[in-house]
Order: sequence, then C-alpha cells, then structure tokens
Amino acid sequence: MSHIHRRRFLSGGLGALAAAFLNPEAKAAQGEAATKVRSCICLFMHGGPSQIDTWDPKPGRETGGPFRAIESRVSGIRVSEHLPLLALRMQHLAVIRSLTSKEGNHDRARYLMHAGYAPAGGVKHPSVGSMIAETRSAGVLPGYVSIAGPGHGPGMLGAGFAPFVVQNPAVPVRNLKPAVGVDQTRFDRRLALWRASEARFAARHPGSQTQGHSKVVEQAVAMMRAKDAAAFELSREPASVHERYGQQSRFGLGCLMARRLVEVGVPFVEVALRGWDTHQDNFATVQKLSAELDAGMSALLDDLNDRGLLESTLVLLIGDFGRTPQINARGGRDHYPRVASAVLAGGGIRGGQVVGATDIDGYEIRDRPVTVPDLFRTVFHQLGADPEKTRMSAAGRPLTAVDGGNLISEII
Amino acid sequence: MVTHSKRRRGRSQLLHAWLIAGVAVFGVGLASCVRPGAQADANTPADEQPSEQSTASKLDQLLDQHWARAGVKPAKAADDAEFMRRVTLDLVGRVPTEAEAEEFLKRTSGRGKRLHLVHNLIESPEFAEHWADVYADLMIGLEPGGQSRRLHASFRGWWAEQLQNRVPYNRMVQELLTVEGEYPVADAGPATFLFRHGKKNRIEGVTTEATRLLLGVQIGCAQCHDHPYDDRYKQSDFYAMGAFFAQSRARNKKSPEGRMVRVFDRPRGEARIPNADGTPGPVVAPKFLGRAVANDPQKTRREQLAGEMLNSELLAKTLVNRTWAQFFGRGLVEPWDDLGGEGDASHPPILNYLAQQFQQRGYDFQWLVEEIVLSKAYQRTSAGAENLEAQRAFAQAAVRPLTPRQLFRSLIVATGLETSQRRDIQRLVEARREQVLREYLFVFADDEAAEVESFSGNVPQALLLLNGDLGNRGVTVGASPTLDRALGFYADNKPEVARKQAIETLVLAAYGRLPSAEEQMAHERYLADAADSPAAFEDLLFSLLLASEFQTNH
Repeated sequence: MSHIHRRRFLSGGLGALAAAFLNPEAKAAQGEAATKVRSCICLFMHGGPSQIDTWDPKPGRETGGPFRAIESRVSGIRVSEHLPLLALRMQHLAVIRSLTSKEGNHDRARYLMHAGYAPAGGVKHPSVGSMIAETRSAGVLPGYVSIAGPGHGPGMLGAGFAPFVVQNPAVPVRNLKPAVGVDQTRFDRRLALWRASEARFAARHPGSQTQGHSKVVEQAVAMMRAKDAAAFELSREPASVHERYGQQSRFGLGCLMARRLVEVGVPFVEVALRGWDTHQDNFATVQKLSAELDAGMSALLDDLNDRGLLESTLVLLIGDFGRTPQINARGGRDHYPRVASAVLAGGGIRGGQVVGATDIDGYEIRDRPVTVPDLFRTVFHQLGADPEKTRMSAAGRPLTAVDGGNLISEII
Repeated sequence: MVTHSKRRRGRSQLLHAWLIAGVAVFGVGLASCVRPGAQADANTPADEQPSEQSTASKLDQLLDQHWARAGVKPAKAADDAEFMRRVTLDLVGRVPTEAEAEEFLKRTSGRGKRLHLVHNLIESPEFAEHWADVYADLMIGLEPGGQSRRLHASFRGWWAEQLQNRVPYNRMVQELLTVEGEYPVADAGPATFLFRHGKKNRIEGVTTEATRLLLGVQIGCAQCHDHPYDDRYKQSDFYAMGAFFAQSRARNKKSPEGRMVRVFDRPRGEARIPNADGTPGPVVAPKFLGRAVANDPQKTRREQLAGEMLNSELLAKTLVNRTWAQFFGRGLVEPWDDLGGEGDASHPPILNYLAQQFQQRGYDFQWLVEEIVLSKAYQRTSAGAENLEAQRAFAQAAVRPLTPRQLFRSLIVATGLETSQRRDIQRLVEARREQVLREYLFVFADDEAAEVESFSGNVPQALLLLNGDLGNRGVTVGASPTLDRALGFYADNKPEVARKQAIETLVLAAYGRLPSAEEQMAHERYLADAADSPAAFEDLLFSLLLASEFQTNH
C-alpha cells in the first residue's frame, strides 16, 4: 500500500469500514456502485493501438499523421475522423489521454494490462477478469469469457476462474451437446463413474491440478445443461443486428456476444480486436481497425443503453500500450508505453469528459498521469470488488488484488 | 517487427510450445529395438550395479544437498507403475500400452528393471519422433497459413534423424548455424531455422531466437534499448551478436521441383544500430555476448559464431536446463531460457555438474535423458499432500497436465485406436489429428506469440473431452480394440471370471497399473448391475479416460 493510498484509506475509508462491520452484507468501502454495477466488458486492443490516431489527435503537427480530428457530441472533445460513431456517443465516454506504464514488450504489457501487475519472479497473477468473476456468485456460465483473444489466466485462483475462450464468435460454441448415441441416462452414468474415479485419484493426489480438472469438467457439464448457454448463439439475433455490430468483424460479433452474455449475468467479458501492432503502414491499418472498433463499440453502447444495462455494465477500452508519436521510416509507429489512451463508459462512469493531457506533439504527459493500478482500482471500485483483497502467492507472498494506485475520482 | 523475447516469462511456455499436432502415428512395437547393451544392463542384478562410481549417484548426492539447502524432505520413491507411466509419457509422448504395462509390472524389481525400461524407450524410434516434435515446436513453431507446417515438418524430420543416429548435440547446433545451399523445403532440415527467423534480410529475429534457444540468453530485450533490469547487455551488444548473421541470406525460391529454401553467405553486409528514426546507424563489429572475438577471415561470420557457441559453457547448460524443465515442469534455473550469461555464479551446482558431464560425454542427449530420469529426483512420487516448496526443489513429483500431443496419442493408445485396422477409424484418427491442431493451437497471426496459456484445463477443453467425437466414437465396442479385448474374456469364461479380467484390462490400458481391491469391487458391482452390457463397458472406459489420473502426468 502506497503512502497516499494508506492515508486515503484511513481518512476516507473508516466510515465505510465501520459500516461493513455493522452490516456484513455491505462489502467494505465500496459506495453506491457496489449494488448496481454487475458486469464489465473489456475491449482489448491487441498489439497496442496508436493513441494519436484515435483518442488523442494532434492535427497539424508532424507527429499527427494524415488523419483529421473531428468534433464530438461533447464540445471541445475532438477525436480521430475514423471514430465518427463513437464521437456521437461521447456523452457516455470518459477518455483518459494520460495512461502510462513502463512495459514496452507485448507480452509483459499485455500481462500488466490484464493482471494489473507486471510479470515478476514466478508469481502467476490472476487476471482482473478472473478476480471479478470470483467476487460474483457462480452462475452456470463461466464468470470470465474471452472472445477472439486468449484473455489471461486465473493465476492462483485456479482453473475454475480461467477464461472461457470463444475463438470465433461467428461459429457456434463446439461440443455443447452430448455426442450422438449418448442419451441422458448414459451421460449421467458416465458422470457418476467419472466422479468415483476422480475421487479415488484425488484421495492420493489432492493437489490443485486435480481439483482444477474436476472443477472445469463440472463447469462444462453445468454449462451443457444451462438455458443461458443460448447467449452464445448469435444466430438468435436478426441480420440487422449483426450488420449494426459489423458482421464481417470478429470483434463486432464479439461485442454482440458480450452484450448477450451480460444480459444473462456473466460478470466479465473480454473482446479482443487484433492487429494494432503497426510498426509499418500504421495509417491504413488504424483506419481499418478504427472502423471495426467504431461500429462494434457504438452498437454495444446503444444496446446496453436501450436495455437499461449501461448503468450496470462498465465498458473498458484498453490495449497493450501506446505508440510513438514519431512516425518511422516505414510509415509505422513503434511501442510507446509512456503514453496511451483508455476509455471507460457505463457502469456509473461520468461520461463526456477527458482526463489528462499530453504535450502538443504527444511525447509527454502534461497533466494528470494515470497509472494502470489507478485504472484497475477504479474498475474494482465501480464493480464493488475489494481492491485490497489479499491472497497468498504460491511463493508465500501476500498479494493485493490491485497493486496500489488511486481512484480516478473525476470520472466516478 | 520488434521481437522481444522476455515475452514468455510468467507464461506456461513449456506447455504452450507444444499446443500443436501434425505428427504421424508411430508403431507401438518398441520392444523390438533394444540395444544389445541395454539387455546386458537389465540382466545385471541391482546390487551389482557400480552405483558408487556411476554419475547418477553423484547427481543424487547433489540432489541430497539441494534438498537439505532448501529445507525440504524428499517424497517417497515412485512405485514401478507410477514411474513407468511418467517416463513413457516423458520419453515417447504417450501412456504405456496395456501389454507394456503388464509386462513391466510382472518383472522382478531391481535397479536394472527401470534401467532396462529407460534404455528401451530411448532406443525406440518413438523417442526420436517425440523429441523432434518438441524441438520443432520450439525452434520453428507453427503458425496458421503460409509455409509454417512444411518448415516444421522439415525441421522435425531432420532432428529425428539426428537423434536416431545419436549425432552429438554440439554437432547438430553447428549444422544448424552453418548450413548453406539450396534445398527443397522438405529436405531443408537445419536450413529452416535461419529461413524461419532470418527472412527478409532481418537479423533481429534470428539473433534473438538463436541466442535464447541455444544459449539461454535474453539478449533480444536489448534490441530497442539498453536492458532496463539487467545491465549485462547493451543495445550495441545485441547488434554485435546480430553481426554474425549480417552476411547471411535466406531466400524462398520457386523452381521446377517446387519450392526451395536457399541459405548462403556473402563477403559483405554489416549490422547497424538503428537511429531513433529507424534509419540505419553506426556499424558494429561482431561480438559474442558482448565479448570481443578474434576475426578469422578464413571463416564465414556464421562459422565464427558456431565456433564461439560450441566453446561456450552456455550451450550445454541451456540444453540441460531445457531438458530438466521438460521432465519436471520447471528448470533448474527459471525460466529455462534465461540463464543470464557465461560463468554466472548463481547457477545451481546440479546445472553446472550436469552441463559439465554432458560436455564430457560428447554432448550425448540420450545420456542426459537417462541420467535425469534415473535420478532420485525424477523417481519421487507425486502422491500425498501437495507440497509446492518440495516441488520447486524437485523433491516431490508435480501433477502436470498432458500436452495436447501427449493427450491425443495417449487417447488413441489407451483405446487401441492406434492399432485399429478399420479404415473408418483410421480416417477418424487422421481427421482428428488435424482438428487438434486447429482447436488447441490458438495463435494470432498478427501479433507476436499470443497463445492460450496452456492446455491445463478450461471449459472448452472439458466440453471437447466430454462430447468430442474422438472420445465418444473412439470409445465404442467394435471401434476400440481395448474394449473388444475386454469383452472377449466373456467368450470362454464365466461372467465372474471374465469381469475380473476385463476390469484389469481397462485399468491397465487407461492407467498403466492394476486396479486396487476397492476399485476392482466397485467396477465389478457396476458391471454386474448393468448385466455386462457393451454400453456399460463403453461408459466405464470413457469415465476412466476423462479422469485426472489419465488426463495428467503424475
């Protein structure tokens, strides 16, 4: 716990702490959002999106590239011309232009942006998705679904909180029905026999691997029997809806699936949009990806809003890291962890504002740097999850859910 | 594209490197290829083994010290069945067949018994094939589309041949680094490595991968900047290492005979540190891990590099650490591909000792494998309460998930599908092999090595095991020779007698051990209640194969 954080905790948190003691139903120090926000949808931009060509335009500067900036629904907030639909929904969006980290290598950065910790010394940090899933009562569907990307593992939380990976949302989830020739009676008999064999082995090998295997098989069985599994079936949505989300886009269809999953109460859904690692030919690539992002995320926000789910669903847009303001010889931008943009919407977030600012060319943060722990502390806060929950790592080191940081108070 | 190599830290690299299939099925008849020497060893009574002089005992002494220092008490020794299943999975990539398990368990105990088994496994063609898969995944990898599959297969074929001929590891590395010429892809073998990582005249990829995979040094992190945590290597050191590849070219060529891979050297070309704007900067002369080397104009740059690598203690240490990690799920130094540098004082004595012995024994990979699997550490039991501290010190065997390759082959061995003569079954197995590739290998073509964490357990995998066609159609009477064998006992025995034998068959095939008394009774009661119907047998075998005892290496 950092100094600042400790002080805040002591000054601001005591009342809530006392309330938690008096009322065990109330989770410690969480505020109002704890009761309302049920789910989080994380849109993950794989490869590291260029912030200057999306959310933090620098028109007219050498680093700005060829894209124009356009006005949004909220006067004074300008974004890339290739995000026109999202610009029209700016009243929902809190744009952070000053996210900063030190991890400039894809895997390390992706680890940090999923777990909130940089990889270190053999500890397997659980993903935020797994941790949020753990705070919610286990439904029959997995608590953490990752669409079109691998997500991040459950670390010490075990296989029960591993992401359920849907590689391609356009095709039905495989193997949800018993094989041909295996009727209910036989399926049940197989399960009973399996449980007995499993128990025999577990008696001699009571470790985490055995427990994890039992747990995922039981989860799979529960899922086969769940009516809610229909949330994975995009064929139940009319063609016009597919079109609105972008039916050629795995990401777009992933956003549609995310909406359906949140509707049946899945607490954490990640949707990946891949291809942002634009070391060459940055602008054509970013333009194409922006179109997918713009359509998918806009349709998602609209549908959540129309269904009254936007207040109970936090939408988070992040990526590996930012990209260099400098445009390289191949028309590309390279890794730049020092500055990135992130966007939050719904889930009790106050939209229509920008947090932080970079300098005129986008090289440095001029105002209000936001760290990855700040971001995740805010996500935990909105979802009513305890950022101070402490777990023991396999190495016997205590680890808090979020690695310090402070709430981004202006957006909540 | 920037290729950092620290990327695998914290991931289950050892597992996801093998999320790959595409392997031919190999015969199970390994008993037929026993080295004459192995027979002699096996016939030597245990107490006549020259245990004091043998290096295994020196390794065991080091292990005792290692455990004492770590303050852990070693778990009990694994029994024969536990050892046999583990070593068969690790050495040839599948569970033992029912016949192999039965034969092994019948033999009288003694040190020679396990030695004989290990010799048989090492000498079998399956050993070379299995390790060729492991190394092709590691050195070439598989990506969707492109030539990836053909390069992988080509490398794999070459590596298997080297292992079969027991070519010393340092000679293999020399060949890998210095190969030149023009080859059809299928015959390119060692040339696929440079081609795979050094296309388009880029030296970064091949420099990073060769240094990491062969020397266990993460110099690739210094490519864009001086290393943030480890000041051992500077950006200039990375490009100085890259200078060894700066005069080499790897080309793809079409010819009347099909696609060709061409690898060659020219007397010119230099490595340059890029300027901030990406333009080529100052030239750097070759240096080996930051140390200056004498230039020998008679040799190509790559030949000079090979010379340096073969003289470096890191070559042996990396191979030893990698192999150790394969057998225990973690290296003596973790991660296995981050040894730091030459003469690092933090390297544990076991690593130093094994690397030194490996060198002295002419880089004989099979010797190293035998040495490790016959050590006390490898022969600990995995049973009992999970003790992570002991597991980290190699004093208790870990329960590890099977790799997709191991699981796939084990399923077809345990059901007997591998030896099925039925054409439709053979086609199913073939088709399924392709599917394993598609379903379990989830690589993003546009990003660098973003893969699923491991096969260790997730709901889609469980659904596949529960409802997939291989696990179902494969476990049916008439398709599975194992089930047919079990039911065959009823032909000329009373049901009580047949039932007993049938259960032994199924448990041996699935788990490589005999059923316990409790287990035997439970299964007998179940089968009797179900009137010994074929469906009841199918359901029993299915459930055995779904259980952790089958799904893990323990």
